[in-house]
Amino acid sequence: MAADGARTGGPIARALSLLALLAVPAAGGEIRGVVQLTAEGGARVSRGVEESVVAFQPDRRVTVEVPETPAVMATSRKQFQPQVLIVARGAEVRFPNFDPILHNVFSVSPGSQFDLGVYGRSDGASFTFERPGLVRIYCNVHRSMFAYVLVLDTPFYTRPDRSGRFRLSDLPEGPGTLILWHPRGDFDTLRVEPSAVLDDVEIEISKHTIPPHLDKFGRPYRAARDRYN
Amino acid sequence: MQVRRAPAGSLPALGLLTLALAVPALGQEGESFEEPHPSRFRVELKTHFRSSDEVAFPVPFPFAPEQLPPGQPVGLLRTVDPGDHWEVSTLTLEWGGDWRPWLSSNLKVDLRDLHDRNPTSTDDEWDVDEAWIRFGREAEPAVLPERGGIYGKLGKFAAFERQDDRHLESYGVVSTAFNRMEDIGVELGLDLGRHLYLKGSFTHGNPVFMRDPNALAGDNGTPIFMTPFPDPELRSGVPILYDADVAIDEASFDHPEVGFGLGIRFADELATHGFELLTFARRRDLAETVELEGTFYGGDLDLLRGPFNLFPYPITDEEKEEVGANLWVYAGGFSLFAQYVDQDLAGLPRTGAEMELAWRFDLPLFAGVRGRQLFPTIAPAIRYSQLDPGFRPPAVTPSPSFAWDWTKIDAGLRLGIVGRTDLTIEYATNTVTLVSGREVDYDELLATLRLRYGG
Repeated sequence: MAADGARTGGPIARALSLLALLAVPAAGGEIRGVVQLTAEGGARVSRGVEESVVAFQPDRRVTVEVPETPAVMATSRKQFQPQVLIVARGAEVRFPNFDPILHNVFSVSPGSQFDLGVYGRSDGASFTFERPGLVRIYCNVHRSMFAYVLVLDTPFYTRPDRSGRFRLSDLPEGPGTLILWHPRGDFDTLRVEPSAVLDDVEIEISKHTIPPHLDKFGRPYRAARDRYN
Repeated sequence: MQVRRAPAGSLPALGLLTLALAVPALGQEGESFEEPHPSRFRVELKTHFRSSDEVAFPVPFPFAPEQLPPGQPVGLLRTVDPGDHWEVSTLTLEWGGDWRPWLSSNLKVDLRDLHDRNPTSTDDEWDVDEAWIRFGREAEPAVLPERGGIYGKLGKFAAFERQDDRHLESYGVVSTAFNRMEDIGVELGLDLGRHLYLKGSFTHGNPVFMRDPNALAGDNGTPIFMTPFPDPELRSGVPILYDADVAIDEASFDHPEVGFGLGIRFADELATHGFELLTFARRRDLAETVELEGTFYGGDLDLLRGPFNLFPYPITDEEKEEVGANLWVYAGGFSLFAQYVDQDLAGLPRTGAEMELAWRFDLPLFAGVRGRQLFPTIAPAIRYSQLDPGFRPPAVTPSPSFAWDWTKIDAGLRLGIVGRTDLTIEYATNTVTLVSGREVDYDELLATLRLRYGG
C-alpha cells in the first residue's frame, strides 16, 4: 500500500507477529481482534479507539467496486465532517460547504494534490482519488481544519467499536496484509492469514490533535501574529 | 494637582459595531485567499472613542501672567484633551512587495496621524512613516530563516528592536520613550546560520523631544504660545522624554546614530512556536538643537537645557547611549514580548522595562457576513511598562515630569469583527511618582475600530 507516511514493521507489527503465531483459527475468511490505544511510553488510552481503521489487503487481486455516487466530506462549523473518510481507489469525493463563510479544501499529499479553491455555502467541488494511501485534507483559510481521506485498494476494512473489537469477514482465501491506522498514529502493517484472532493489538498515538502543517502555498499559518504599528 | 475622572459608561459599542458591519466589503479574512502576489496594497482606517481622565500638575516655573491662559495663576502640566471624544486618528496607505527573492520595498504614508503628531495641533497632518528598499531576506522575530544570509535596508524604517505586533492600540511608556518612531538610514543584517544573527544600523537619529505617553502627544511650543494670554484648545500633556519622528525631507547625518544588535532565535518550522532574544546598543551625539515641525521648542540638548538654556537638567555631556534586550516568545496563540532599556541621556540615567502578554484564539462560528465569519477571533492582552529616570529635575523647570517615575498598565482585548475589521478596547492606568514621592493615578479608556482593505 503506497500510503502517505506509511511505515512497516513497527512495534504494532511486532506485537501482531507474535500474536499471529498464536492465532486461533476462526470460522473461514474472518479476522477478529481487539485494538488498544497506547500513549507514548505505553500507557493505555481509553478513548478514541473507534477512530482506528483496520483493513485487509489480500495478496490475490480483488475487485473493488467504486460507488457511482460520490462520497461526501462536508465543511460544517469550521470542521470537516467526517474527519476520516474511507473510500475505494478511484472514488469521487464531494466537498460541500454547509457554513455561512468561505472555506478552501486542499491537499498536498503525494499523488493526490488538489486545490478546490475558495467557496461559500454550496455543493462544492469534487476530487477523484486515484492513488491508494492516506490523503491529508486542509483548509487554507482556517488552520484548525483538517481531515483524512483513506484511499484503499481493498473492500475489506472496518473500524473497531468503542471497546476496540473488530471483525473482518467474508475474506478471500490466502494470505495478505493487515493494515492498521489511527489519525494520531502511524500506519502499521502485518502479514496475516485470514481466520486469525488478534488480541490486544496496540496502536501508539503520539501525534498532535491538529497535525502540524503549512498552508497551501507552503507558508506557515500566522494565527498569533498581526502586524500592528 | 488634581485628577478628574472621565464620565464612565459612555462607550457606544453598538455604534462601532454598526459601523463595522456596514462596511464588510472592506474586510478580508486574516488568511490569504489568493495566490501570493509580489505586490501588496493596504488601506487602513482607525477611528476611536477615547475617554481621558483630567489631571493637572502645577510646575515650578515663574511664567509671566501673559504667558498663561486667562485666569490661570500658575503653569500646569495638563491632560491634553480630557473627557469623551470620537476621533478619526489615521488613514494609512501602504504599498510594498517582495519583487524578487532578494528585493523588497515598502512605502507607508499616514494621513491625519493624530496619535503620532507632535505637537498634536500643529505638526504635519501626514507623514511618510516608512519608505525603504531591502536587498536580501530579513526574518521576522522568532521565525527561522531558511538559511543564513545577509540583507541591507535603506530608507526610513522602524528600529530593529521595535515590537511590530502590538496587541493593543496604545504604547507602553518604554516603547514610547525609546523606539516608537521610525528613523532614516541604513540597516544591515547577517544571519549566521538559522539561529544566530547580527544587526547594525547607521541612521539620522531621532531627536530627543517630549510627549505625553497616552494617545495624544500634547501641544508644547505651538505658535499660540507666542501670543499674550494664550488659551490653546489642547494642553501640554504630562510629557516624558522620547525619540521623536524624523521627517523624511529633513534628514541629515550631522549627528547620526549607530546601532548594533546580537540575537539568537529558535522556532519550529511552522512558526507556531518560537523564541528570540535580542541584545542591542545604540549611540549618538546629541545636537545643540533640532528644529521640529509645529513647535518653537528645539529638540536634543536644547530641550534638556530648558528655556533660554537657563534651566537645564543636570546633563554632563552630549552622548546618548542605550543598551537593552528584547524577548519574543510565541506558543500557538500565546505571545509574550518584553523589553528592557538602560539609557544614558547626556549624563541623565534612565531605565525602562515593558512586557506584553496576549492570547489570541478562534471563536466558534455562529454567523457569517458575506462569506466571512462574524467575530472570528478574540485576543485579550495585558501590558506592564515602567520608566525609571535616575535623575532629579531642576528646582525651576516647566517640565518636571521628565524625571518622574512612571508606571503604565494597559489591559484590553482585540475582537475580530468581520474580515480584517477589528475592535480593540483597552484601559490604561498611569501611575506617576512625583519628586516628593507622592503617587498620582489617572486613566484613559481607548476603543479603536480598525478597518482594513488589502494585504
